[in-house]
Order: sequence, then structure tokens, then C-alpha cells
Amino acid sequence: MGTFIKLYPLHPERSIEWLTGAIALLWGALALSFPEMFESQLELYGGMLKIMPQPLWGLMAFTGGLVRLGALYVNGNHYRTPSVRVVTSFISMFLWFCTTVGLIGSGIPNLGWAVYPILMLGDLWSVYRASADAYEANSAHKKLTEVAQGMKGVRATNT
Amino acid sequence: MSAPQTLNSLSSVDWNVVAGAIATFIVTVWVAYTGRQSAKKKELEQAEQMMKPQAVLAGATLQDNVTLMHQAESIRSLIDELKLNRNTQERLITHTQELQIEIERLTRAVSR
Repeated sequence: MGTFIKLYPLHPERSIEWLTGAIALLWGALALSFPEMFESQLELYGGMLKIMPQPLWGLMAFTGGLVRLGALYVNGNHYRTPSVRVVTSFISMFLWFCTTVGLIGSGIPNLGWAVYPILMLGDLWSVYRASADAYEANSAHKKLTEVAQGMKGVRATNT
Repeated sequence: MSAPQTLNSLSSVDWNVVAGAIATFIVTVWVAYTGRQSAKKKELEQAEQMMKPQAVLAGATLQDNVTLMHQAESIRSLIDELKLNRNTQERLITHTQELQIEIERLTRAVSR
């Protein structure tokens, strides 16, 4: 949390990514911790089980969330990872898409109908942002490399 | 897996979900591409903005250079005119001196 508070003012545009990443991580952890959850509420989660088994849901969400939060922490602080952010945003969006389809497919009205589509749209926006960041970061890195090479050349001619 | 089993598993696939997943994939790829393009456009605009003051400075310097060149040309033509003037003056002096000598000679002839 301290990291989040420290990073937030630096990259406020990434708050949606932090939010959906944290939700995916906890979501996956819950799905892995309670392996009977989907089967015990088959009416609600039957549609999701048709898509893939619960451990796979849990694994996808947990791994995706973990990698995403890691990439968000690293990006801009230690190394350039916007490409990882693009991929994990994409995975996260796919997760929310499957969840939405699964919950709607159950045919039972539930509050997930209101939440997951919005998370999906949020991640669509994250894909856009991360993709733009990836271009900016790569472009800036390329320019810096050119400048560094130019300076090396100047030093070599001076010595 | 035998052929009937394969057919059964294929029939259990919800093709609407598959179509939705494919559509979502395409939309996401398009959004990622749009994001990249917008960043590219923004970078170009920023580069143009950064270039503006330099372009103005370069234009002003060029204008100054042109003005200086015109001034130099005017000065050169003035110098040429001055030289011509000087030559004319010198010739005038020579003629005046010759005229003076002639007048003196004529005066001497009349007084004899």
C-alpha cells in the first residue's frame, strides 16, 4: 500500500491498472483457495465452468494479476516494462470478458453483470494507455541511446 | 479422440462465445494500435512545438544576413561612386592648373 501511495502521484493515469491488477490477484487467490466455490453454486457459476475449470480460472487471474502488479511497480522506477503491461492488460481484459460471458450465460441476474463489463472496459482503456506508454518509452530510449553513442564518438575523437 | 467424440465436443462449443472472444481480441488489438498511433502523433506535435522558436530564430538570422548583404552592396556602390568622383575632381584640378598656366602665358605675351 505504501508503494501504491508513493507511486500514485507519479503515474495517476495508471490507477485503473493498479485497481484491476489487484482485483485480479485477489480474485485468483480466492478461486484457488476455495476450489469447490464454482461447483457449490453451479447455477451462478455454471456458465463460467463451461468455459474452463475453476483452477484454471484461478491460476490465470492470480498469475496475470501478480505479473501485472510487478510490471506496474517496475515500470518507470527500475526498468521499462510497458510491453508487459500491454500483455497483462490484455490477459486481464480477456479474464473479465470470460467472466462476464460466463455470468450472463448462467441466466441468473446477479451483481456481477454490473461490475465485470466495466472492469473489461477499464482494461481496454489500460491497453490503450500501456500501448501509448510502450511507444513513448521505446522512442525515448532510442533517442537516449543515439545521444549516448554520439557522445562516445565525440570523446573518441577528442582523445 | 474418436471422430464422434470430436464432433460431440465441437457441438458443445458455444460459438457465440468464441465469436465474442474473437471480436474482443480484434477490438483490443485495434485499441492497442490506436494508442501507439496517438503517442506517435503526440510526439510529432511536441517536436513541432519545440522546433518553432528555433525556426523563428533561424528565420530572423537569415533575414538579418540578407539585410547585411544588401547594405554591403550599397556601401560598395557608394565607394565606386566616390572613386569616380575623385577621378573627376583630379581631372578638373589638372585642367584648372593647365588653364592657369595658359592664362599666365597669355598675360605675359600681352604685356610685352
